[in-house]
Amino acid sequence: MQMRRFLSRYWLLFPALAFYGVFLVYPMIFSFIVSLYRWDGLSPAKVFIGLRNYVRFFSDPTSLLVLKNNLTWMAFMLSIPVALGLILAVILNEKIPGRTFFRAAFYSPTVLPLVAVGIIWSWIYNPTFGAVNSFFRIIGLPHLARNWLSDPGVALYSVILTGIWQGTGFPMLLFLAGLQTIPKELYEAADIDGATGLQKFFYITIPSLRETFVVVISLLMIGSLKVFDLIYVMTWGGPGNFTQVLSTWMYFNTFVYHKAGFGSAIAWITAATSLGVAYPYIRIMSRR
Amino acid sequence: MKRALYLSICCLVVLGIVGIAAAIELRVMTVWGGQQKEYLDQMFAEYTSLNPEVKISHESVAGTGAATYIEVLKTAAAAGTAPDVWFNWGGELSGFFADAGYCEPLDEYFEKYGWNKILIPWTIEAVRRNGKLYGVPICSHGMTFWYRKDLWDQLGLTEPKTYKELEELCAKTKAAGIYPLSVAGKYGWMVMRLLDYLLEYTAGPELHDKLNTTEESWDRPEVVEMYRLFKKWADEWIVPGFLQVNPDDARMPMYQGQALMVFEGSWMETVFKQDGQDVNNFGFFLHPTEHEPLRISGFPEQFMVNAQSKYKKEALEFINWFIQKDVQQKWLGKAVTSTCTIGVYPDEKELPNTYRFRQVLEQLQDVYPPTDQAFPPELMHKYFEIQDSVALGLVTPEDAAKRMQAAIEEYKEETGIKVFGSAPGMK
Amino acid sequence: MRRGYSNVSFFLLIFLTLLVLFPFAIVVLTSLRTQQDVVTRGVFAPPEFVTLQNFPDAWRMGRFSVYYKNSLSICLVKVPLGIFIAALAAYPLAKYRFQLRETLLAFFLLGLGIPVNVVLLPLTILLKKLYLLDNLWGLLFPYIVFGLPFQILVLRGFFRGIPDELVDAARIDGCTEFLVLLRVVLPLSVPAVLALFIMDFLATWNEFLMALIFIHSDKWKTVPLGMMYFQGQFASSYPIINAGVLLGILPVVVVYVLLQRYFVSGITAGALKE
Repeated sequence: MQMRRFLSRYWLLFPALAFYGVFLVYPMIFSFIVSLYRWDGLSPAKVFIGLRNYVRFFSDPTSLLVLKNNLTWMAFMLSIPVALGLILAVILNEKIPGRTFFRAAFYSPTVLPLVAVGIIWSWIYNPTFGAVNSFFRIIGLPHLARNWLSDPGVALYSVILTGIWQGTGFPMLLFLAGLQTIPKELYEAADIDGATGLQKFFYITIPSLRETFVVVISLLMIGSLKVFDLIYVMTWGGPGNFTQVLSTWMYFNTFVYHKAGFGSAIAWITAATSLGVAYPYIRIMSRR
Repeated sequence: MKRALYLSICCLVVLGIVGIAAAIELRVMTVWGGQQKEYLDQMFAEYTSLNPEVKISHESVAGTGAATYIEVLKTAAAAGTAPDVWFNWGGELSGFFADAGYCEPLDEYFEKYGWNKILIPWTIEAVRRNGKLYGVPICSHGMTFWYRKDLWDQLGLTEPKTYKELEELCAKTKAAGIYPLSVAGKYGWMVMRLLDYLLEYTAGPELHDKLNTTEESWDRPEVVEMYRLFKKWADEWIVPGFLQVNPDDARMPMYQGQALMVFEGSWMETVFKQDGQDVNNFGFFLHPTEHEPLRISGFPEQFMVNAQSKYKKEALEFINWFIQKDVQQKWLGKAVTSTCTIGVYPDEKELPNTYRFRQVLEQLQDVYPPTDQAFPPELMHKYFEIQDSVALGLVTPEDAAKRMQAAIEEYKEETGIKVFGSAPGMK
Repeated sequence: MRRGYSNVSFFLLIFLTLLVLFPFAIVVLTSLRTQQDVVTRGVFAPPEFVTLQNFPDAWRMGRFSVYYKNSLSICLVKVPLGIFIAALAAYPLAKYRFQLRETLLAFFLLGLGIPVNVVLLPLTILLKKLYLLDNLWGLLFPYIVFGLPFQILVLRGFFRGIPDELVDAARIDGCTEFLVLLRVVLPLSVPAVLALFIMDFLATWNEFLMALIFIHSDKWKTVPLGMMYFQGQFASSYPIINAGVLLGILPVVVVYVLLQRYFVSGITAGALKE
């Protein structure tokens, strides 16, 4: 009887857990075991080295740079796309003319596949014929022209700009969804009380979107630590290793240097860090 | 009546099974996409029409760069699902698979099929790994300076025979407001081509080879000189901001009249054609090294056979057909952009530069490999890092040479390798 | 009726839109030009003349006639199925109180942090053992699994926003938990489900790496793999790549435009008042 009650309530979790258990847990364990070895990913020869790969990561000079880049990325991607996405969602929630068009326009960068983003943006940033430098030359400010992707001081920020361009659609979409659940009556009541637009925004909209914020910010946190595609395509971690991030560094180690063990260790460090950053945030926000 | 029906159905089923069993699927993986892939599919279909029991499944992993191709191949090999035949580059990129035991040694077949008589000699040497042959060379490429004829003639330039003449050529071009060279540094390998040339010039053939196998130290004046010369190119003669430009975009400044030359390979004329350019407006000259014999950067590409394949015999038959002179000649310029078979030439009028380059490649005594085929990938990345740092002015040429040697020693200490195994051109 | 916006902010919106759409405009422009035009006259130059030839060329070269069917099939099955399984799991994580709740959440979050490349080899081995390798429907399983953590997180968040009173009321009425989910929680989460549908359709449609590694037979390949074919070994045809890109993203755009219409304020808010 107890069992039946338990099952009737908790069976909901089983499909997800089953899928997860078979198709993710086994690969995760496999990759963790690999991280305890020195292995090139192909030949039968494997050497057990325990936790040395993990120690190695923290003493590797590139690792500090990599962590710094990820933190910089996170700082920008957690603030600007969230703020922009929220503002756009609020505006595009109103009945303004061409609303569908605008919603599509701001989501379209998210839809473009990576190969196109890489090609077009490397054209935009090209120092010789690119749009940005050409623009500066045309308006008579040629000294503002830069080597956007080759100059180590600027390269990461150039990619961050592309990241913001591509990454604002996602928070916007989630905030739009969240805005649908706010009862209109709350705003009507505030209107009666004579509240301004800004007051309504800060006292009604933002608090009502609390759960959406939690979702967006935790996903962006994890996404920032995992960012790979854009950096790989636009700078390949370069020049040198100046724009390397955790995921690209892991990729290079696993697949280019043939150090599967070290690469797996970096992957686990990334996963643990994501968990360590996002989970406490979610727990804290979950307390009511 | 029913019995006859059942009997005929059984016969059909049996015939069907036999039919299916008789036709095998030979999986061939290549890196070729675009128009070339379409032609290759036709070429493979032609093979099947001549050999109906072998159907070729062309698995193309195109355009994503060497890293992704190797990743796909490596994962498949490790999981036991690798194709029967695969394309590979030379040197360390393919050596990795041979060392791990996934490539069938083919030495006896070179004898048996007579491949060593029909292939260009240096290409066979170039796929030798630790003394054995693990692949059949199918493409041969050489790289040097290509230039735009109209700008060249306008500036009144002549082919440089010494490095000094090359420098004068660059200075003259720059003075006229045109950048001498457009290369693109993303991924590192295109800029590396220039450094390879500079090293051949400063160090000469023998030392260059020894540096590639790391028998000799990189911390030496010739290497310092190479970095010093490279810095001059980076500061004065290469289009600015080149370090992170996509190699795909490198030729555009030349087309648009902002640059005079590119450093490209024997395939370049086909690219000009695809880009709708007039092939007669371009030419190439062999970079002056002031050494005998004159070597250029050369590398082969090969087909390798999966050591675990069930269809090795069919694979070898297919490769044998593929490299025959008449087959290569028929598909040159379409399914194959290059060849290692002697005596295969494109139409001289249609592709004059390619014609000339093929003559060069056939007559070459020896080549030096691109360093990214001589060095293992991890070390290569350090090489690129140092290359970028020199261009950015973050390290001096002397320090760069020291760092390179330190990186080599660190790598050798970590892996226990004393000398690298397959720098093509090394006997 | 007071306008909720001013002229100034509208023009700012238009300006921002133009900036954001600029790269997209280049994609469209390039797809309408010839290769010669693009490389000789410059990538940002206005077209010398306009051609539509790149589209049929890209369709052919990318084998879209075969791959489109595959991509559509797998997306239309995987996306609803995956979201459903995620909803099943997100509901207990949002609305039950039990000891392992937070641990389970952490467990799912961990999967979110794992980069795909690292699990490619074990997944290949696993799928091979299950005879699911080189099969379009073999992709279904890893695709669902990798979508789960994200979707569970989003749905949990939205489910939490639904007042407990409504859930309890349904329970008191005698509904099983499953029915509560189906009849009360999900209808109130329509915007979230739609948003997930859009995002998951996009992610599944564009998924490249797993398809590349797990599928090698031509008949099962998906659209992103076809886009690979536009790139030659030494040079690529830019117009064809861009035309192929536009053809490739068409279904995603259609899905988005169709579904975002339902983001109309009040569809669910009104229901909450009952």
